Amino acid sequence: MATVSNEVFAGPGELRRQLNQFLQGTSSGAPFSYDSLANSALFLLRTVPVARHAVLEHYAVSFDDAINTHLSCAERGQWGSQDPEALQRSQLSALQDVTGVLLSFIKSNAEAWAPVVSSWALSLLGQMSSKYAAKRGVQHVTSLNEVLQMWMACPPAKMLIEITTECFAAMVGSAPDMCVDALLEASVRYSPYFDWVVAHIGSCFPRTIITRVLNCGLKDFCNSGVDGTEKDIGTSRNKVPKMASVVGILGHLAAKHSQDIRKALMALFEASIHSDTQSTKVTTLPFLLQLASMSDTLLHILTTDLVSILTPAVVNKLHRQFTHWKRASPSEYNSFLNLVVHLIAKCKISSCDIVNFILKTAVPEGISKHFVSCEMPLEEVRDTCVEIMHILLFELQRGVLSRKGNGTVGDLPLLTGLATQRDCLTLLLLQSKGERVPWLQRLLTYTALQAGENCAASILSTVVFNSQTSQQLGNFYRLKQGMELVFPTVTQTTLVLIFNKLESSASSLVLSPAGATQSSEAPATISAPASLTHMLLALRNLERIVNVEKVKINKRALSNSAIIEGLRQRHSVMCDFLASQDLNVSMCALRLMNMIGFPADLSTSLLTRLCGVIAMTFFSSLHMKVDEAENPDKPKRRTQLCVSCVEQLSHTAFTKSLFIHHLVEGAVQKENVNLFGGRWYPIVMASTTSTTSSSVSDTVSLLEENRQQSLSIALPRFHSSVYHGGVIRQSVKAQLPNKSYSKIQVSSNCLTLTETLWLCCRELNPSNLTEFSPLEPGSEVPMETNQLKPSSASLKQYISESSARTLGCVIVEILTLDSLYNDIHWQDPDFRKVTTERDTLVWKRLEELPLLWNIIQEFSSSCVFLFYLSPVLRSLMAVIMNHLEVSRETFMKNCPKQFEGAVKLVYCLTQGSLVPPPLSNVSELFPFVSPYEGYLLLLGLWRYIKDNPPSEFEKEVKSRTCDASHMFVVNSIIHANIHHMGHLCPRIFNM
Amino acid sequence: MAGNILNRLFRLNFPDCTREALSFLTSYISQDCPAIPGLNANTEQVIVEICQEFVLFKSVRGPQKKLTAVQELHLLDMICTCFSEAPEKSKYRIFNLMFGAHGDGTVNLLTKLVSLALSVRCTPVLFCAAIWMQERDSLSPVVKGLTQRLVSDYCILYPDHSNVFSTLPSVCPLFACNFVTAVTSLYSFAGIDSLPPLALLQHVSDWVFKDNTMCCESLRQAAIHSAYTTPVPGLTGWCVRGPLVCCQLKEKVSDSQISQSHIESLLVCLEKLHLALLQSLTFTACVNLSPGLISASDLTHIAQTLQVVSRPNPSQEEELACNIALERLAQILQVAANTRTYIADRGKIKELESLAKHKLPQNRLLAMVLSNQLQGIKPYSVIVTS
Repeated sequence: MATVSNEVFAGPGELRRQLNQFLQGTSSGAPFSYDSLANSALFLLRTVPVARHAVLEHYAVSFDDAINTHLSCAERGQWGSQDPEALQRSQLSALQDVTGVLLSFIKSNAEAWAPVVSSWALSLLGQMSSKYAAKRGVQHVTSLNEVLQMWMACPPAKMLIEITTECFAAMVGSAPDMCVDALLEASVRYSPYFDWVVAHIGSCFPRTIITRVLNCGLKDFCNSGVDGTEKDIGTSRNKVPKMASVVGILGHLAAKHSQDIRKALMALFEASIHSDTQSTKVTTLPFLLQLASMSDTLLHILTTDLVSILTPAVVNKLHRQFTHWKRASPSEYNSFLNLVVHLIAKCKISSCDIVNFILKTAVPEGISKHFVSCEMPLEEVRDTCVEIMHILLFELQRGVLSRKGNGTVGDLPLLTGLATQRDCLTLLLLQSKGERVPWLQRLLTYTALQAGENCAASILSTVVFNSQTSQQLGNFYRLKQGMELVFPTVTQTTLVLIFNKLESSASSLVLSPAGATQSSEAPATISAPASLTHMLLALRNLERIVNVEKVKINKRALSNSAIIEGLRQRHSVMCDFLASQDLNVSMCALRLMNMIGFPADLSTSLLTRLCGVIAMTFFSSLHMKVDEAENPDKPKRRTQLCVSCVEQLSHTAFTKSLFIHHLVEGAVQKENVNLFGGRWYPIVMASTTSTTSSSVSDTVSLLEENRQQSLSIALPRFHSSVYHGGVIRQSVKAQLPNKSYSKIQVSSNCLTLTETLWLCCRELNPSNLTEFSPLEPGSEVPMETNQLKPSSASLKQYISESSARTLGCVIVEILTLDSLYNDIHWQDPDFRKVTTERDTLVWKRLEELPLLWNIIQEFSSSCVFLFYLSPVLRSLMAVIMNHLEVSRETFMKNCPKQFEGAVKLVYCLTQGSLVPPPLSNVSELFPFVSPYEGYLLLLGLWRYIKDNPPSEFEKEVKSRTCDASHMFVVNSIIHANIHHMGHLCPRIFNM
Repeated sequence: MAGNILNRLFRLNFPDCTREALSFLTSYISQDCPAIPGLNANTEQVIVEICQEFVLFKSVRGPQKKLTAVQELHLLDMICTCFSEAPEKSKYRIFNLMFGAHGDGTVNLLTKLVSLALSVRCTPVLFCAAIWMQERDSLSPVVKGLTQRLVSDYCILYPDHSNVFSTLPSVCPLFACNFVTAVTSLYSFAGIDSLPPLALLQHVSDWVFKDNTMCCESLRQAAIHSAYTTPVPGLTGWCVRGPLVCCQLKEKVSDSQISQSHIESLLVCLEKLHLALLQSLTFTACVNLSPGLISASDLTHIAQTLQVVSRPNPSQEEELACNIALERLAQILQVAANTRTYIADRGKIKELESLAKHKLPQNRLLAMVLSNQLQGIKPYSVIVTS
């Protein structure tokens, strides 16, 4: 390879000879040795300065030829015949020589040679690119990358690029402007075909190229702006062809060097803020915006940083810089504003930041508060931002609605961007006040309309999850109103979303109480499961919404509410919430449930769950009421809600019986028994099932001894034998840590439970009215205190037959040990000797559970109830009679328990018409009789019942009368005690 | 005939038409411009038109013909050949026909022609160009532009290996002389932006050193061409300002792109040049030319520029450099005065003295020379007049 150093000092003669050779070779068409021509060209290049242009021109032709040969060979797909290959080789070696010489020139004296060589190489590259672009078949070369690779595979082109790169490397240090200018000019001239060169060089010197390209563009923009009398943005695009190439180049580099571009853009902007010259100040920002308007990539790069830089201070400074310009050219200012709006509408990334910035500048918050030290945006700036916001909203509205009009999807990147950041934007809406609110509402509505129903739903659900006040929740209605125009089913979708979120958060709360872990299964929810507070908020907000909807329905403003309908289908979820450990959550769920009511078509399993959970909640509310006696309002409300739920739900026999089971069985459970004044003794069960609970601590088990005794001595279990045998009081009473409840509380609890039961059992307007004769009004007396009872007196209420049956069975189940003697019919009174133990246990159990007494009394008006309850009644009667038979007291009153029991018992029997009137009045005699006389009276009753067994059929029962034989004992007792029973004669005898 | 020749030329293609035109012009001018039969009045015009159309390619009718770089090179080659072959007496007339007209249009071609002529050592072209430079005044912008291009070609683009410049005085001393004059006005040596390229300085110092007659070549032509400028004032300026400027550059060498060694070589060249200048002045006295290589006003001007270059609070090195500068000025003045090769002017000398006294650092030699001049100037003028 020829180098500079082995330069021969050729004489003038030699020079002339070479010159002539070269001229002949190039100018004449005569065939000339390629090698000797190349030699003389090289010689001239190295020795004759003035010949360099000619030689370079000659080499341009050579490069052209070589590229042509290469491409045509490549096109043919093979390096076919020998001839072009040899030609190619000699061409290439000559080109390599000249490349070497040029490179050595550049190396030896970069300053002088680089501009010359680079401009030559650039224009040659441009010519070649555009010349062969069509030839190479554009059809199979599409991307810039492919073009680049294609050219780099072509050796001559690669040499040229190498030379150019070398020139740039030499020049960037000293004269970067010059080389970038040349590059830009070439880029403009050979616009689309030259891109690969720019891309290659740009990627070699990214920082310099970017900065310089920007500076060149700005300079150009300034000049054209200053020169032109009218600098309308629209027309300036035609005027500034350089802008296009600047944008093109930056666009290429953006992929790999966006960070550098960003830095360069920001540096430019900051320089303009701090610069002194009027022209740079005023033109830099429009220049940047113009750039952004021409390339989305640049727009993204610019917006990410520009917004964060624009603090109030900076904006004010800009305002001061632009004031003069604005005044000078109002039309230009308008088009500038439009450009800004247009650009904002095009921003996809960081769109939320942009919106936030505009809002912050338009309506700054806390003018007098903590921003005192900071600079506030000037009034003009604020007005401008307001104007921008208005135009923007208008444009967006047009975009969204026109899309709807003709069905095509108009592209509004801002909205698309906002759709991805809808949560952030929605929260912004919730936090804002004043003028911002309607703006944000419109923005969100447009976003939703653009992005689709899911987005709309997500926005609405975010509102529901985060609104703290009713003003904030008001956004929900306004947004919904806007969205429903386009998405009629948005409410349903929103509900789906809300409940997905709620469920996932509920499950995560169960998994970890802190709610920190993200539940893996959260299909529809995008965000992490809401925390407990958000859950609560959401439930409360739903409540508020339902409330409003209900009001509307009541006012006939709304025919039916999609929200209520939707919520009604989600009882199972709410059931979960109701069972939640968090009181607030369950309270909310309860209120909500109560408000929306229960649809008729709930599934059986769901109903079962609902009943269970509601009963549980009911009891827990009673507990709360007792625990928080000083603040009873909340628990009271809770209880009321529960009762209301029970009332709403118990419209089928199925739910009724479920409730009866849950309520009654719940009431006698260990946890709840205290509430109703009862005590819990495991002995009741232990005596037959296990002994563990009672005798764990005792080494000597009295029970075991008793059993052995009773096994060895086959004594009939009389009262005394049972008593002394240790069946009763068999061990030291295990004192449970009972909470002591005041009588008032206990009685109120009992009343509540009874009322609830009543609500369960009642039946309104039975269709088969003829089968049931109406109950006496007296049976409803306890209900008068029930504040939940419907006030309409016209509705007669009955205990439904099935409920009565269930209730009876439940109570019998609770009180008796087994069903062995649970015969409905009453045997001979003497038979009670056989069932003494059983009877005693029933008595004892009932003593411990005074609530059951209440229930029995309340519901005794139903003969069905009494029919099923008759084993219990019989046992009670037997226990009382046993006691009275052997009692030595003078008066029956002196055995208070038995006396009271007898009174209640007779009352119940009377209510249920098991005992007809004259006989039923014997309870009035009890205060005056001796125990044995009491026993005789009860015996009389027993006999009557034995003769007239209980019946399920009310008609039959009601028609019974008492014949004289059953009154005999009564009569004789009255006679015997006539001195103090005389006044009662009319009650017994028909007088 | 003229119409014929034009028509014929128009039908020919590039190389041939120009070759024809050149040979026609040469023969025509060599024959002392005989009147062309039938076209007496317009003879001059036809000649000019042929030159414009087929040599300079500045068509007055029809579209401009743009030559490619290779064709242009061919054209230059042909012109060179033409000048080599033309008779001695008509060379400048042909040259004047081509490039004599005032206007920038031809300067570009002329520059390239001179550059090629330098490469191929075509003395006739160089001589004509030298006279052209002298006529246009070596300090005029046109000449400066030409000079700059040549410097760029031979000192910047091809700095190391150009034996073209080293032999220039022997090829065409007048061109070398005028070229140096133009170079000194192009590069004033007053700061970093007006430094002559090192290669150029080396060549110039070489030329002056090897050939003491070179500086007075233009002075010789003064007999023929009234206007002349000599390179001596400019070179003196280099020698005087050089040390101080280099000293200042050295101090801020860190932030400039000039290396220390570069500055050192500049200084060495300046020393050599100074000696060569003194020798040239002495030589001029021997050949008995009219005085005019340098004038008192030139020296005063140099002193003024030196004062501009010097800074108010000089460092020790700067003071030293300034001393050297003043001594060189004194030496030149003394030698020029003694050899009577300068145009004396008492007023200017007085101005120089007051400048040296008040504005410049004290220098004993300069003060002595100046006082001597002020005293002795009278006898000299008396001698001249008597």
